[in-house]
Amino acid sequence: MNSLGTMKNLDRPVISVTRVSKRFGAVTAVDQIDLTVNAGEIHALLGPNGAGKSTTLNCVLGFLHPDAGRIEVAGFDTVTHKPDARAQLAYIPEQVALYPQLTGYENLDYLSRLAGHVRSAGELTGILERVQLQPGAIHRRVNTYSKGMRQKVGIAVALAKNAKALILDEPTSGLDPSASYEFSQLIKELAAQGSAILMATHDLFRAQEDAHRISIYNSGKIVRSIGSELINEIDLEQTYLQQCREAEVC
Amino acid sequence: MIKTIIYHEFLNLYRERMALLLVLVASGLTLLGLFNGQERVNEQQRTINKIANEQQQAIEKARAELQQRGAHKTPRNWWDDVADVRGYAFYLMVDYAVKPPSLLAPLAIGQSDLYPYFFRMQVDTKQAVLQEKNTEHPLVRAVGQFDLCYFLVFILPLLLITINFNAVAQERERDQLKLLIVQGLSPTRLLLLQLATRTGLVLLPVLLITGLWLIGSPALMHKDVDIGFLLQVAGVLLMIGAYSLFWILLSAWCIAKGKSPAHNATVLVACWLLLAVAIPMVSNTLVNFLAPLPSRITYINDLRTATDQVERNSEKTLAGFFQDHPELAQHQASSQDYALVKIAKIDAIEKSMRGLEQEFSTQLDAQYRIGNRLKWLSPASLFYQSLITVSGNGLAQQRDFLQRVEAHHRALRHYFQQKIIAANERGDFNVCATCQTPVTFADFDTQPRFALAEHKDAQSGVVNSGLFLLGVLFINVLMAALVLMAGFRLNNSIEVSRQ
Amino acid sequence: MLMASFQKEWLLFRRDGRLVWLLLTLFTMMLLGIASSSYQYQQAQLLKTQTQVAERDRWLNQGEKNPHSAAHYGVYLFKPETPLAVIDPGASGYLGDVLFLEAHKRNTPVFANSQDSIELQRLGTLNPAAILQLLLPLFVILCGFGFFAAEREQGTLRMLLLSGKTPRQLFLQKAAALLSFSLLFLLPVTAYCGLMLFTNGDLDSYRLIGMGLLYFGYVIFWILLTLSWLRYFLDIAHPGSFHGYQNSAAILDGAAHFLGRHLIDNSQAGN
Repeated sequence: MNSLGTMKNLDRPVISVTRVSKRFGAVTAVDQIDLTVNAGEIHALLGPNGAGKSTTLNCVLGFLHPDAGRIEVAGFDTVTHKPDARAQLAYIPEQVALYPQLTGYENLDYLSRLAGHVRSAGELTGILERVQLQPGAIHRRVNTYSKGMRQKVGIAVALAKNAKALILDEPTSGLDPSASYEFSQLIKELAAQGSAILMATHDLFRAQEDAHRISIYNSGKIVRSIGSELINEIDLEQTYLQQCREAEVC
Repeated sequence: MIKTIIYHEFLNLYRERMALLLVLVASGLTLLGLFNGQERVNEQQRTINKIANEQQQAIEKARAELQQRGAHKTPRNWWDDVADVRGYAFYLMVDYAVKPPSLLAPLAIGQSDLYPYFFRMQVDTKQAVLQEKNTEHPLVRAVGQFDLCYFLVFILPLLLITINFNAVAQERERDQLKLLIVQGLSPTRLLLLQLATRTGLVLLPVLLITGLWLIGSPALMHKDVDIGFLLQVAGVLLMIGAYSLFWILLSAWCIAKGKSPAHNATVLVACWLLLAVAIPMVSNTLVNFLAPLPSRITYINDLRTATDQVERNSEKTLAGFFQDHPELAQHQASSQDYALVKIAKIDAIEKSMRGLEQEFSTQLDAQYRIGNRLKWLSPASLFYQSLITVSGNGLAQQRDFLQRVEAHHRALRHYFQQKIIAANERGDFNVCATCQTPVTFADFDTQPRFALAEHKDAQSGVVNSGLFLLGVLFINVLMAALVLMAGFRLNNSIEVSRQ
Repeated sequence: MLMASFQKEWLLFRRDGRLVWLLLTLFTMMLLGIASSSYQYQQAQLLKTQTQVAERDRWLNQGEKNPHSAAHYGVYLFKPETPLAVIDPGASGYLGDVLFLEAHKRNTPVFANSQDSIELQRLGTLNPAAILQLLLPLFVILCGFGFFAAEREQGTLRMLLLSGKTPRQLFLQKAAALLSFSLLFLLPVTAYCGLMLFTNGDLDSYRLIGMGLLYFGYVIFWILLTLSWLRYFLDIAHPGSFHGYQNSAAILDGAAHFLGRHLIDNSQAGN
């Protein structure tokens, strides 16, 4: 599970979030957060709804500009060098929304062209096969796909883009256990190949299985950060609930 | 990149079966509109040809009769005799004033279903000669025929709204937009290209068909086409483009506010109703209120009274006539002739109606002025009026035609008045009961004829399309500024994600 | 129960500022329409009556003349209007107002109002019928849409269905609310008709009832059409719950043609 040692690029984290705050009116959604994701690392964000996980992700993606602090993706500031930062990013939301009237192949082709990568038919098919989309489904319209299949196309998009960093927002919620397992195998494979993965989730089990680092959010702050050395040692559920109780939220 | 997005958008529309449907609907309605307009033009052209023919035949027949005149032994009634200036001027003359359809007439039926496009001239009161005859079905007039103008002004905006309302908004509602943005696509760019692709599908067939039809239709009417006409057609196509651009910018502005497709559709349809239906309705009521025309009932009443008065006092009428025409006073001695009395009566009736007619004209001018200001409240009314004017079927051209007909009528009256007085002077009308009256008129070829003024119509059309383009350019610049402002908001509104 | 749900709809309506503004605008337009339409009607009617009397006088006092001249002297007739033309002028603006009757010659009616106006008038003037026929459907659609969209966005639709309300009840409730809002438009018209009925002997009450029923039917038609279209929203909330109404759109489509034709026919008959 711990593949950190095998990575080449250890000197600099792919995603670095430094003392970032974001306020919406009177509400401080994120309060002086620090976190990093290295190449080959899966960093899971846990926490109750409204704790600030999504705000953090949106800041990393450049959809929100932090009020204070600084975020870098592969060395590019997400505010001042947004396009460069985004070129290094891939995003897999809770629901990977594709064009329903186009096939999985056509969707992938379009999305990778948008990112500036023109790939041959063989390459595209190869990528879709690599994410284990059934061969019969590749040229079927997306409106016939299950959620799990759409999430796989989401990963394919990340692959086709050669993204250094993946941002996942509750990617496995609503997937049945086997689809969820398949999905996390793919994620782990991507990490093993050197991608930095930042993932918000409610799935404590998957977080514990997959992640190299877990940050527990509460009221806009990271209240507990668990490194890879501890993940398998602790009772994550108890730790999580304890953190919540302390903040009187749960 | 641009090509990729456009191709992809097209593929999407094609898969949703929208592309084909839109092209079909847009082309079908354009063709139907042009066909209806062309039908009317052809009908008018046929009638005008028939009239010209009739006029020519009448001249030839009159010449033939003049030649055979010697053969007649018994005298003819003067009212049946073409060679008698009285009979010819009052009853037998075949002289038409026509308003031929302009080359761009298939564009819009406009006011051409309300007013006559030809008048048969006679020496009579203007009121009798310029009588408008209603032969068109009133319901058809009320509802209006489906011509290209109707399609362009009312239906085209709806088509544009229908295809554009969910651009970007649909991606946004499906939560697809973030993914696209992370892939490097900016929402404003996507919006522009989507609008361009979708609009192209509707607008290109419309422009293509309209352009080809308009260029081809003069050939059907056996008329020559010059470079000026081609420029006019180009002007019309530019007008359609500019008007469409307004609706596209409106859609863009609405979309850029970042609401749901359903919300956009509602707002855009409401805008359409406001601009194309409600505002014209209210401003028309305002026009009627600010510059009411006198009633035609009053007009009839006055005309009737004036005619009665003139009929009852024919001597006074005649005296009045010579007072107004002192140059003819020397002929007063021989004045008791029917023809002269009739001319004097015509003169007197027209004179007494002049005040009220002036009032009609002044008020219509006022309505026109107010309407010209109010039409700027809505691009729909602006475009409507401009299209009708460009097609030569506008009120301005109709009034111009009527004025020229009136002038022609005056010229004819003056011409025959002189002839009648001269003949009377010579005593040509006072021959014995069994004698043949002398020839008092034979100038069938040289009498005043109505001159066409197509050139002037075309000119006013060009001026109008120029004005329209300038005006809409101005409106569109304003709209574009609004869109730009909203565009920044669009980028921002997507950036702010839901919590 | 019905009252409670009605109050809720009214609250929803009032909360949506756009709908209130729309209602106020349309209502004002309606009042203006009735005012301007009835003013014009009164003026025209007065003038026609006076002129008809004058015309009769002229005929009687034309003096002795030979019969042929008298026959060509003729008589002018002025087209009478029923008071219902205030509500729906129909095609009367395009129909000649004046007819000249003379011997052995058939004249067409002349002087349609539309010939004495600028071309922009072809886009229509403010009158109650135009508002009822063109703008009222918009109002119904926007209102209906507003109700469902609001409930859907708030997720209350599913709640309502799950709380034991049948789709039929929900449908009826929405229809009743829409109907009552639409009837607000018919109020000024009804008031005007009532006034006419008591003050004007000319008013043909059968025709009035017929016209009233047609407009009522027209409103109902748009309400049903809107609601049957909106079943898609319900299908999302509660799949398969509205199948009973699925064919209503097709049936109503036919009804639309029928209604539309008869509304026009009616206005024609009236004018």
